[in-house]
Amino acid sequence: MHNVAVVTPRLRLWFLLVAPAVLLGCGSDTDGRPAVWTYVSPAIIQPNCATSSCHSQGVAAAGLDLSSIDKGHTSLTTLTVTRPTGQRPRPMVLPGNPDESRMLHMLRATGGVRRMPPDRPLAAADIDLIEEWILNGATKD
Amino acid sequence: MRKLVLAIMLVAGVVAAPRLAQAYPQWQFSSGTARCNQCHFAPAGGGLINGYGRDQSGEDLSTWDGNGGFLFGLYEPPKWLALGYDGRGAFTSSDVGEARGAHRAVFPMQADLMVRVAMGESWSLGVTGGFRGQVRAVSSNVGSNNPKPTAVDRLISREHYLMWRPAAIGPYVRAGRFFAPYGLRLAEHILYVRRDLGFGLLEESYNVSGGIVKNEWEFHVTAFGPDFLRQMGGRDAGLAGMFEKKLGDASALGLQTRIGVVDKTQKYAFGGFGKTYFEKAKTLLQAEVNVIPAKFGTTNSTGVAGYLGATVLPIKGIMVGPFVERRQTDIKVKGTGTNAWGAQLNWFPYPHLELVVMGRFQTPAAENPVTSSGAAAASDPGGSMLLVFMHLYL
Repeated sequence: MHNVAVVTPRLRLWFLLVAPAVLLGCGSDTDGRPAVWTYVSPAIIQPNCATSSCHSQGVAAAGLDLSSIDKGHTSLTTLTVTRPTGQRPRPMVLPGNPDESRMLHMLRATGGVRRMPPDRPLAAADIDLIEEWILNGATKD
Repeated sequence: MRKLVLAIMLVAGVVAAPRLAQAYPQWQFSSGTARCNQCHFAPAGGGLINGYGRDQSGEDLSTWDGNGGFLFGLYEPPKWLALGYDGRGAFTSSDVGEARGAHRAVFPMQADLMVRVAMGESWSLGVTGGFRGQVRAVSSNVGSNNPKPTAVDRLISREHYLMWRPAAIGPYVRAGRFFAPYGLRLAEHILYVRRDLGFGLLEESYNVSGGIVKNEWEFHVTAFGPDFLRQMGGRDAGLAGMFEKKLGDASALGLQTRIGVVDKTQKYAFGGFGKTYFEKAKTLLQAEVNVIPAKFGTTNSTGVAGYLGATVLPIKGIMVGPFVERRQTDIKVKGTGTNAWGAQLNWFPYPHLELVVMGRFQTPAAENPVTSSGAAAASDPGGSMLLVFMHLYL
């Protein structure tokens, strides 16, 4: 039997140290990250969108496979998805035109569309970066 | 919606008025249970429970005692065979700031049969499989060139592995499909575990894992690769390891790391966790922090993910407590972070039955993103979610 009274103060201190680290925000107001797909896909899209029940290779919800850099880029910029109210199918991303890109409206829940991801919105700066990528031509670099 | 969740949390707080404490295997320190595998067949815990776990379930964990055996004790399998069933059905209401308001859904989460076949004293085969729930319907109305699901049916085996383990205490090796042991082993598969740590639902990897489990410490190391059969999870391959050391009878500290490589991405994770039980307050505190450096193509980035939770065991069969989560895609950019807080109530009224109510609010670190046209976009509200589910375990 160990002496619990000796070790618990250490853990309490550990928690006191950890809790602020969990809660505190850090970083700059300026986003210096490159608006390129080789960052956007693995850092933002894959962990949040290519989940098992959604846009994984296995399920490919709405005909979109976002599980890799190549497949994700093809799914968003080349393949068409059915749009509501009988409008002509078109890709989720229109290079150079973020305002007409349905993907961006879904990320921000604007224009009356459903938000994606449906359970946890992306961080605002991550959506801004995706917008910049689209504005820059939505290339696969 | 928020008022509803707050009301539920208030009710939970009233129910949680301290009376007496009881044990629960999730909280090893409150019951004197030393290891996760004291109740589970898996060396790092989780999944099918063994005879000791069933006894605990029947006698010490539920509000009203009963028979914790398979099928309430109506059928006792031979010693070489262990059976179990895990079924869950849920109601969820999620509000993420859409004009149409909150989404509500009722859906089956899972219906799994669990089987363990012992082959002699040291070898065993474990299989968990069944129906997989899916809250979102998979659209069939897509372009002819679009990728089609490779996992169209709803049957899946989330775990199947062969294990060599001469004894519960000591070394083991297992190979197959399961989650690599990593960090805090929380009972619920919350967003923090799924998204921030990368252990998504049904995204178990294929692994060769080994380790040593002692009463005082345990160590697990896993070589993992992607799900090559169903392509449900991440495509990376690499190594994961964790070490946990008990400090006295009511505390533990641990370290974990994970290295995964795929395409042009190298992703690392380094973290630590701690848990301690305060006997007088009948409260378990758990905390974990992970720093996640990565190289995405030519871009270096460092993310962070953390969890802090408290669980109070006020009366037999009930556990309740708040939690907070923090994540940030890149610590150099403030606007990439989000915070979340919530509370959870678990009630085990009778052996084999669990009722769970969970509320979660997310708040963004930055507001009013600006569109390319320079106009302020709709304010990002974060999101809120209420999850209620019933868990039947046979």
